[in-house]
Amino acid sequence: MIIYLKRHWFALATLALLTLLPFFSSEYILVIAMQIFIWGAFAISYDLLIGYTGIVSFGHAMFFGAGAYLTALLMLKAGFNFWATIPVVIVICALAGLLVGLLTLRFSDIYFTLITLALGEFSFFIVWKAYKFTGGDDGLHGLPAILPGKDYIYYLTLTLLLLIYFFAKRLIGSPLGTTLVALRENEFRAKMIGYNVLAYKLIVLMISGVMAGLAGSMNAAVLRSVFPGFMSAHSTLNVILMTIIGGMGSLLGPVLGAGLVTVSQQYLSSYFDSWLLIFGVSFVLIVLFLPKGIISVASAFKFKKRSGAVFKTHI
Amino acid sequence: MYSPELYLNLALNALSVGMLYFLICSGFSLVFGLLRVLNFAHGSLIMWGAYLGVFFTRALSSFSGALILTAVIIGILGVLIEFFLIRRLYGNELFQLLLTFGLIFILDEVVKLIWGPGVIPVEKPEFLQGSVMIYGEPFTLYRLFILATGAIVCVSIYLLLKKTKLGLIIRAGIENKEMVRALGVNINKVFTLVCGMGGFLGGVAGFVLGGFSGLSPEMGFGQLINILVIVVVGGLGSFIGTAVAAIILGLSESFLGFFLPEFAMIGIFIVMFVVLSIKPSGLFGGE
Amino acid sequence: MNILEMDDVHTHIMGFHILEGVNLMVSQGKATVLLGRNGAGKTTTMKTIMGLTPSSSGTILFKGQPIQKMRDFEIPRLGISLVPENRDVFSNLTVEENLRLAVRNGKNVKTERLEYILDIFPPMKDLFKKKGGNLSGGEAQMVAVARALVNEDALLIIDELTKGLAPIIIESLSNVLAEIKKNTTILLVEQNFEFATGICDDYLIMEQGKVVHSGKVDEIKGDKQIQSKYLGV
Repeated sequence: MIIYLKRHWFALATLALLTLLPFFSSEYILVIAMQIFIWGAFAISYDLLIGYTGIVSFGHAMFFGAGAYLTALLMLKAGFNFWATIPVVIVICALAGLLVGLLTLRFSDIYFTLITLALGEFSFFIVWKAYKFTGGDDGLHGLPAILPGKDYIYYLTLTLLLLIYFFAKRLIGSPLGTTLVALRENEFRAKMIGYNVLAYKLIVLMISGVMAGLAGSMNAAVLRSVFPGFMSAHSTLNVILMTIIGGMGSLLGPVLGAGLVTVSQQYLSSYFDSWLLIFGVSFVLIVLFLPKGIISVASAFKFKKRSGAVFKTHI
Repeated sequence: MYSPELYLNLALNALSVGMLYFLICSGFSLVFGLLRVLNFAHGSLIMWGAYLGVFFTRALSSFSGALILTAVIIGILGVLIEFFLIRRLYGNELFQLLLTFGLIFILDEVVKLIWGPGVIPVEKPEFLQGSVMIYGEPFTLYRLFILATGAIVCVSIYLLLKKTKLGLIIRAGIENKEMVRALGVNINKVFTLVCGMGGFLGGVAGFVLGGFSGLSPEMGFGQLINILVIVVVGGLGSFIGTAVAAIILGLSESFLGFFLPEFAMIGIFIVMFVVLSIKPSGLFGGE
Repeated sequence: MNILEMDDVHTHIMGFHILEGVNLMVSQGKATVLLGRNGAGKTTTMKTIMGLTPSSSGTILFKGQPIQKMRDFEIPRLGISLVPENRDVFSNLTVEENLRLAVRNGKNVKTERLEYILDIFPPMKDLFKKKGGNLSGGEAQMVAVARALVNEDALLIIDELTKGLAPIIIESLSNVLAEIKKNTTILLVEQNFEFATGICDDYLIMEQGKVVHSGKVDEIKGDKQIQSKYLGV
């Protein structure tokens, strides 16, 4: 037990800090933190695809948006309670993941990426066009508050992030997870050994889709509005940015990335008109020189501190 | 019923739009064909071609001068991108993709910085305003210009590929890079050159596009979507496929735009889904 | 003198240790055959020499000059031509264009060279306009070799000349090689023991990434033991 505490002291300290945040921060900070948690969850779902399975989707925001719109529509037009929308989101996103996967996974890598981009744009377009249902450009507003205070919502989003993180971690550590990594490393070989590659990819896509959908759902609840932008390429771009800058294939990296991007968005944008430009440059620099993302710098420190320890920590 | 002249007019419009799409995609296809790199930033390069084109046309008094200058500058940009960025990532396709993707942010934001986030309407040059009557239906001079430019580019590309040693290397390299190296040809230099040509073609496309539909910082990404759909429908790696798909898209936009304007924008997606369900590698794709 | 020497050359591909210390010598003016089973590392050796698969360590000397650090496209320019295992004739180019692409000095194939090629391969004169993709196996092999003869190179490396070809064509290739040998050193990778020992002077046998046996072909010509031990025949 003590060993556990010692080893993970940094994580536990961060967790403690986050738990205590509402007690000493302004509402503004809480709002930003919540955005980080939500997008962090979304980014983790994306990392499962790109970092662990090697699936490069450029349309992943369609799940995020789907979750958000489903929740909003059910709450506004059908009077659902927020919690009641959750199972619906899970089922629909899983089905959507299945459908999208069946449609797109049979294509080779490059085609897959392009088609997911097109599919993403297509879904954005549908949502945007169907303004009678979805409010079009203006989106939907006025979702009732789901909990009696900002603090409660804060803990809810934090819980969501933790749940998704630990679920993803469990998944990676499971036999399914190791298979996925094998797939990413050498799909051809995996196929030859007899793995049903398509089935595995389908499963990951579904799981990832559900996670993204839940994150979107939460986003709707927190903002109490939804916008077509949730489903747009812009969102996908955002989450890719976060995952890569943070460090793909690490689960924590994307959360770090979400933090960096969100905070920069908030603070840099008041100083620079084009914080996005700075991010674009950072992104390019990371792709060129630090492909494992910023979190790889953090792990380098972790190893240095351990003098003498030869064994590697499991991830 | 509608008159045959109307159909002819629509068809001519379709052809000119198709030609424009072809111009837009040609640089992308060329770069992909040889380097196997999806240059996601191509749409942004085209946008730069449009903005610079308008800028130069207003600054210089020569329309054709502005066209050439713009194309050359974007061509140089293409060379720089290959030489300093893409070259470092050979062998890693995912990161090349991400790199060109990241370039979109940079290129698009700089446009906003310099020219602002709003739409800028563009006046066509005087000698290209107005229309010509074909069988009683008007066909704008600018569309004629597009057709002419497209045709010239097409023929030039053909001549380059078929009649020059460089074209020979490119055609061979598209098929088998390693063997070209084994013959003692420095294909890396050709990569750089081809990226320059891709940029040049993008510059031309952007210049023409600017006069056609005005300027907006969103146009880069918008064109990227078009490019990707066309290239997927036509078949990645096939120049002919790109040309054919471009025409199909032109037809779809032109006819849908007239008869079913609600569906004009998703027309391309529908075409894409239909084609891919029948032939997953695209019309002329062979992978 | 040795036109080509490899000294303790190691090559890794995707983390796999393929060449584990290759030592070999090719004498100038002779035809040397590199024998060995599938997977012994013969093709990798060829590619390493040509720089297509860079070596991890060791020295490769061509005419006494170290070439292991040179870039792949610089090596042919020293006077080495490769006829690869899959022929790699460009299918979208005509035969004439395939030849023209190989020309290193100048725009077109030199007339004397063209005559030399047509002397060795008379059927080629009808093939010039044919697209590479429309050639038969034997024709493609012919074009692949012809392409390697376009420049007057000192060393010709041929990987699996007879693979997939009809016996009658293989027979004619013996004469072809004999003719080429008069002016060019040949390094031949072959699995066809009969064919190889018929025209080559020296031999090398590879197994598991190393050269395990070498000498004069005369010594092993009829040796069934060697054949079964190293070639699995």
